[in-house]
Amino acid sequence: MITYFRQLLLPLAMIASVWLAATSPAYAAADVSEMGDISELRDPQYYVDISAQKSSLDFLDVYDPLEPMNKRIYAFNRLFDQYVFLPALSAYRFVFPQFVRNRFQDFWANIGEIPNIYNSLFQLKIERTASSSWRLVINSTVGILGLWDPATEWFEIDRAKEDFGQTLGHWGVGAGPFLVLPIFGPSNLRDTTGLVVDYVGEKEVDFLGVREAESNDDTGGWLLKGFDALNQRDINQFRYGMLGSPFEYNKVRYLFNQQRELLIAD
Amino acid sequence: MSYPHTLIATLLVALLGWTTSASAYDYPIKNPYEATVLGTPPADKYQWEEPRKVKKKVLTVNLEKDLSDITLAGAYGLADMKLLYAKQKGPAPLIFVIAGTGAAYNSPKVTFLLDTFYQAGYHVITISSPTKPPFMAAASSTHMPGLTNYDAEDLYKVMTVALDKVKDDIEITKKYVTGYSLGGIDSAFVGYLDTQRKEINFDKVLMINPPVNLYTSVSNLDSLIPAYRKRHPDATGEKLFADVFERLGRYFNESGGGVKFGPETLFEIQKSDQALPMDDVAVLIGVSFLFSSADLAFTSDALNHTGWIIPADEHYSPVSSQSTYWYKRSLRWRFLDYFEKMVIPWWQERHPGDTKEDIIQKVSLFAIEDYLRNNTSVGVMTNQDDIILGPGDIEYLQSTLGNRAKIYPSGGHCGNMDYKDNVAYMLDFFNN
Repeated sequence: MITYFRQLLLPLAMIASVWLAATSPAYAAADVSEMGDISELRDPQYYVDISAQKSSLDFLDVYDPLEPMNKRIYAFNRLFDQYVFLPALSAYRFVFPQFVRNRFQDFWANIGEIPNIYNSLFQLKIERTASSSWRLVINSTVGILGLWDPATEWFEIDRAKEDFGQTLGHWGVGAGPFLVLPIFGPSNLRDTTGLVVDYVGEKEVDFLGVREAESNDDTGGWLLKGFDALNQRDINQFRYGMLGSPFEYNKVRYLFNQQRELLIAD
Repeated sequence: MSYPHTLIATLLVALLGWTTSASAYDYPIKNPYEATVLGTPPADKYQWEEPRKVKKKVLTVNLEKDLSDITLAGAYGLADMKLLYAKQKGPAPLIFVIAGTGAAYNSPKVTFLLDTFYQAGYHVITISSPTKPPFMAAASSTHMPGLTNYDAEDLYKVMTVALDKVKDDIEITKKYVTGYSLGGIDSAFVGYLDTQRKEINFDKVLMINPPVNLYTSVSNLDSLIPAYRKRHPDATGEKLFADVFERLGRYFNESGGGVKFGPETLFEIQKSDQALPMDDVAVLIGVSFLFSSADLAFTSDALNHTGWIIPADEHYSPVSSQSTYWYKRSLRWRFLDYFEKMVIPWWQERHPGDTKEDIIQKVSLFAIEDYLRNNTSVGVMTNQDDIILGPGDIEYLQSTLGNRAKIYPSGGHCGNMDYKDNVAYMLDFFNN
């Protein structure tokens, strides 16, 4: 349910912030009736009252000292997506029907339960540590090595994503400079640190031997890496250019940070 | 003995039949702002008896525009003129769908219309609004969207090129054009242009919730944020956001936590104790319009080098660190600022002597009044409470289009487009 929350609230967050910034209180208290009817829109005198207002739009200032480099990497990622990732994704979707892709999705999500567990613990979220552990146990057994997700379907234990970036944020570490990572996309110093820690952490635990095998520089290793990446791209609905806006970089940067703040607060 | 009973029963049935047939447009949301934001509850949507899977693909058309000067075009993939295309196997009518302000060829409302007409057995091609930056870069001759007469020329070009591209692929029996909101008035101007050029020869044109006077529509939308401020002088965006979040949280808690977020959820929330106040709903429309206006004003400025947003001695570059500064400047532009500062001077350079009033007349429906009045193939479907209409607009549509003007009592701006009665009306309009 938390996921659905976020899907709805991210656009709302953006909308609210822009509105906040684009206007300033220039009016004395007036009629506070609800906008239940539109008769006033039909009244030509109405517009006499309405005038433009200016104020600061500081919320758009995400700390981004490496902006020129970030923008170049962003442009590279867009091309990489267009010429490598998306064609590969088409092939992936052509070969594997939705049912099979859902099994892959559940499988990788189950592997990803490991960082959820230890990061919940690091944040002293005991209930969440327990529920994520239960999910791992149920899905790895009843769900046949995680290929299915009975924890959600039958036991109604929702997935709760926690990574080390969130753990750092939970204990008060700030986002630091915004970063665009090659291929991985938008991040910041705190969450990039988190990515590295979780990479090491997952490899140490090496649940089902997947992360160790994945890091091997052989055919199997690269195949696993490829599947992992394609699965993630399959889930991710974002497409470069989908906003059709000249301010895509600014919007993505803002929304990324907002999303991380929401994840940390939750 | 039983005779009077039969008579009474017959009378009753007749009466009942009469009341149901004459009644009752039952679109459930009566507040126009709420209707505009929420649309139609899933249960009240038009249902197809045997829905088919809609196969649509992206159709890229090349308008052979010289984009070398336009670094903006290459910057975020704005150079591609993309359309959505769905075709039938056999001979069928072809319908073009034009998106509303700031909406793309694949936005939800456009996709809904594509699905609807595809289910009805038509070939469908959808086009982004001329106000959408990719259209402005790749297909606009003016880079000054909102001037419906010029926009119609650009749209017409896109349509003829697209037709040329698909003509060997499909068999076309008739040609239609439709659009909602700004796309509605666009479709009428395209239909009018077609009566002069005669290259496509549209058989029917349907405007859905179009503006009548563009200036009025834009003023209405621009005014929603200031109107909110006026009612809630101490409100802030943060408070609004926190309030929305809290209400949702309470709603889910009160529902026992077992609720999944689905297509019905927003409607359920609005029926519950945690419903968002109408003012909050209305301001969301205003803010979403502000976003579109900012993108539009900036793109127009970048392409026309007006110097209003990007200083005249600077050039747009996707890696420039100035973008945040430019974005802030753009967000301070209401649509009317764009009209006053960029559009009017541009127009007056080409049509010396025209006043602001003249321009408004020439880009609004009044400019093609004779065409609308005399051409029985043109229709309009809109709502009494459409928030983009002003005083006298409904009456104007009725007096100009007569019985080809279908006015529903409620639905706000495009909120009832997918309501069962409305879809039935649209299909009936084109099929008969």
